[in-house]
Amino acid sequence: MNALYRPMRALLMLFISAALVACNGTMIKPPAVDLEYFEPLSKNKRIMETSKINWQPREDVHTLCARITGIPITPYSLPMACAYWNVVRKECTVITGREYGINYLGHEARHCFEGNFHP
Amino acid sequence: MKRFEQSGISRRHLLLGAGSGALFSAGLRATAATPTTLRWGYLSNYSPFSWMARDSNVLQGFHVDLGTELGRHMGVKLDIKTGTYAEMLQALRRNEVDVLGNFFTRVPDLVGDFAFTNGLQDFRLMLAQHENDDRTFLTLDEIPIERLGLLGNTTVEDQVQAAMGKGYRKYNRIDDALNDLVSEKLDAVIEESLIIDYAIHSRQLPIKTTTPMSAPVRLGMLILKGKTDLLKQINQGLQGIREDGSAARASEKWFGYDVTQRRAAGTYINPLTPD
Repeated sequence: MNALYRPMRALLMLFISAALVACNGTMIKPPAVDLEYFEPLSKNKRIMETSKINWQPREDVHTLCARITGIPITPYSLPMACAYWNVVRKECTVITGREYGINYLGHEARHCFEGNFHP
Repeated sequence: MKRFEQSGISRRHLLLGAGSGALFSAGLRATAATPTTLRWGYLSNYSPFSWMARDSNVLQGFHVDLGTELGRHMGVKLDIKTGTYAEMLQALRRNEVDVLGNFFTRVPDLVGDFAFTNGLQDFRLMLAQHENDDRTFLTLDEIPIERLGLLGNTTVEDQVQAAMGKGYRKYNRIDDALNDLVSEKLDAVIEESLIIDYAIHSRQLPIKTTTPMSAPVRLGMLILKGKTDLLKQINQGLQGIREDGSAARASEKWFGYDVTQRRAAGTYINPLTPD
């Protein structure tokens, strides 16, 4: 009985692991932002020439960034990271998930100097 | 409903009046269909966007300045009328005003009868904290509820109560809440972003806006549905005062920075897109 049960349990664990990877796939796959180079704006064209950046890695990044940016969470869109800024105070907050590659952090940090550069 | 003219606009157009026919027919700014006068409405008690100054009884505010710039850009005279929200909606419906020059959200009560112009500013709820407070509150439940202040009997209170229950500090005037934040009797105040920005800028308060607590909603001015030419012309005018910097200058005057620019951005993926 035990010999029969062990392979079944192993198969079950494999299935659960595969399911978890699928659920979290958006979190652990390499980020796809900024695959192209960009030319930084000159200092006098930035929204802030210098910026005090507050980085907040968060588990609830998707819901936070949906609220902050207005990008909805739907089957077709999932906010992955965001930034918001205060040009009077020269302060900027970057929110990312906890298991991201460096691209998201770099991309959002660019917002802290160049504002909403997305077309 | 009060009615008067903005002195700058009327003076300019008195001067233009003598020879403006040739200018308009030449289509320098206005198209052939552009009227030379637009009946322009404002709410009369809507600080900091349009309200009567107590001492001088002069209409002032961010939206008033935007309207002035828009009239200048479009080359039209503004015949200004003011009233309450209900009065101005009625005036629009009766075709007694062409445009309501304040900016509104697309609520169901308005979308049936009115078209919205393109926007120049967002509506969003924002946290304010003391300028010496470096804590980051990203959600309401991170703030001790008894140290959160808000304006009572508003949709803000409804939303906070739905999310957090009661226990927050409720105020009848937002200035009183901000004063308690200045004296550190509160950790945070939640209110519409530009209301806080105006208070900080005009009173030089030692507080700062911090976390956006609602998604940004783009606002638009109201025009009676069916006036498609006018809507198009005003949208072109709005684009014009954005591009020539006059909208940004009006914004700097009232809020200390350019509120026509977005204050947040983000990155998203389509989860259904294969790697």
